[in-house]
This record gives sequence, C-alpha cells and structure tokens, in this order.
Amino acid sequence: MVFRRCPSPEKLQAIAAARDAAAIAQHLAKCERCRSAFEAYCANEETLGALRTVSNDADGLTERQRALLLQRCRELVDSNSAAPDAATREE
Amino acid sequence: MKRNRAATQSASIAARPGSDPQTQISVIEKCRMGDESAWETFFSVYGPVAYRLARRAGLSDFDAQDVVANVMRKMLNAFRGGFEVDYQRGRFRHYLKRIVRNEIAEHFRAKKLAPVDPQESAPVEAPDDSAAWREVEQSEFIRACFDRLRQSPNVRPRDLLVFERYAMDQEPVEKVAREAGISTSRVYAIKHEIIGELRRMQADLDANLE
Repeated sequence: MVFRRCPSPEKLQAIAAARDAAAIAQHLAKCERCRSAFEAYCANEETLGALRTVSNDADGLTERQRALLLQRCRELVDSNSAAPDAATREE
Repeated sequence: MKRNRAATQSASIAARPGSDPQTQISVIEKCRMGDESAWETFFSVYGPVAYRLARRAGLSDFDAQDVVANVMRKMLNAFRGGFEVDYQRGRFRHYLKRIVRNEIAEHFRAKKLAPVDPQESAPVEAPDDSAAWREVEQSEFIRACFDRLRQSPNVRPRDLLVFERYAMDQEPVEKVAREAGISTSRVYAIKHEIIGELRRMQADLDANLE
C-alpha cells in the first residue's frame, strides 16, 4: 500500500494496532509528522496489550484472588503482631 | 473476559506527584511514615507482582499467597524497623526484589525437606529474571493506574465504557460508535486519550515508587 498523502489518524491507529509498520514504511520515512504520530500509537498499543494481559486473569490471578490478597495485606497492617525480622536486614 | 470491573474499583492509587505538593514525598517514604493510602498503593501493585512471579516460578496458588503475605510482613517490619529511604535510583526495588526471590526460593527449599511425592515434578528454581520482574511490575502499574482512572471524575463514564468495549474487549468500532451515539473518529480519539493518560499516570507511579 502506497500512501501519497498523509493517512488519517484513524488509519494510522489501525496500522499500529495491526503491528503492520511495513504497510506505511515508505511514507513514514518521508513524513516526520506521521512518523511521530505512528510511534505514539505503537507505544499506546504496547500499553494496551499489557493492560489486556493483566486484566485477563494474568498468571492465574483472578479478580477475587486479587481482592483477597489486598484484604490479607490490609489485615497485616492492622495487626500489630509483626515482630522484627532478621531476614529483612541488608546482607 | 474475566474482568470484574466493580471489584477492581476498590484499589486506590496515591495522587500523582506534582498535582499536590504533599505528594512530592514518595510512596515508599509515606509507607515508612505509616500512611494508609500509600500502603494501599504499595499492596495493590506489589502484592500481585509477588504473587505472579511466585506462580511463574511454579508455586501453587496457596504457596504464592503465602509468599505475598511473607513479603508484605517483611516489608512492614523493615519499614517499622527504620528502613532508610535514600533516593538512589532503584535501591528500593532491588531490596524488594531480593525479598520476593528469597521467599520463593524458601518455599522450594521447604518443599524439598517435606516427604517426597514421586509423582510430583521437580521444583523449579526461583528465577533471577530482572526482565520478568520489570514486565510484571509495569503491567501492574498500568492496571493500578487504570483502576484509578476508572474512579477519576475527570473521565466521562461514557468514554470509559467506549474504551473498555472497543480497546479492551475489541468490539467492532462501528458497533461501539453507533451504540454510544458518537462517530468512529471519536472512538479512536477516546482510545488514544485514555491510553495517553494511562501512560502519564504509569510514568508518575513508576517515579513515585523509586
């Protein structure tokens, strides 16, 4: 696909989402504005990929387990039973 | 998708540095001072980080939860015992990472001492994998920031819904636009704006947890 004119932001986003930089490489080589926008969209896609992964039961951690973990951590803070622990000292 | 949107709204994130002079103090320093909201931030990020790394190393759900509890207990004791916060970049993370790795390794050592089940596969060593740590940590940052964004009064509920349907659940843009009563261009723009804000928040949290 040859882009003689700058593609729309929507088109750029779609190409970034498809991780298909080759489709627009020629144009990006000549157009600083599109290259900058495209890089930003690609960075966004990486962030979005990480968000999808972590939101989708990452490493077997369900929402319920996550909530229980947080609750358990809170209870640790609330309890004053924590004793000094030698294992935490810097070696 | 297994996300429970309501459940994740309980996590709270400290205010962004720069938005309030009081937040110039790092989350770690606040934890040391006993600030509850800072602990919530710390737990919401590093509890899942420890859990996920323990699971990746091959521990069971039960053991991974134990790792989290022990790590948090040790961090509490360290802070209460006067953990010195200096702002040398990465020092705190290095310390925390070592505690997590040691806890995971300790579970494997304990297993070796227990009666051996011949059917049980050999335990996996706790990995010394900084890349894995960074990947899990960054993804938990994003998640924590997204939870905070969901609660932000600055983001319209409609925009959040559009983002979740189009960007997260990957519904067709035309369908999302039609049902939200907006143009497809606006859907793309919403996605870009929300991820941009997430990235800014992620960078702030990253810096604030040094």
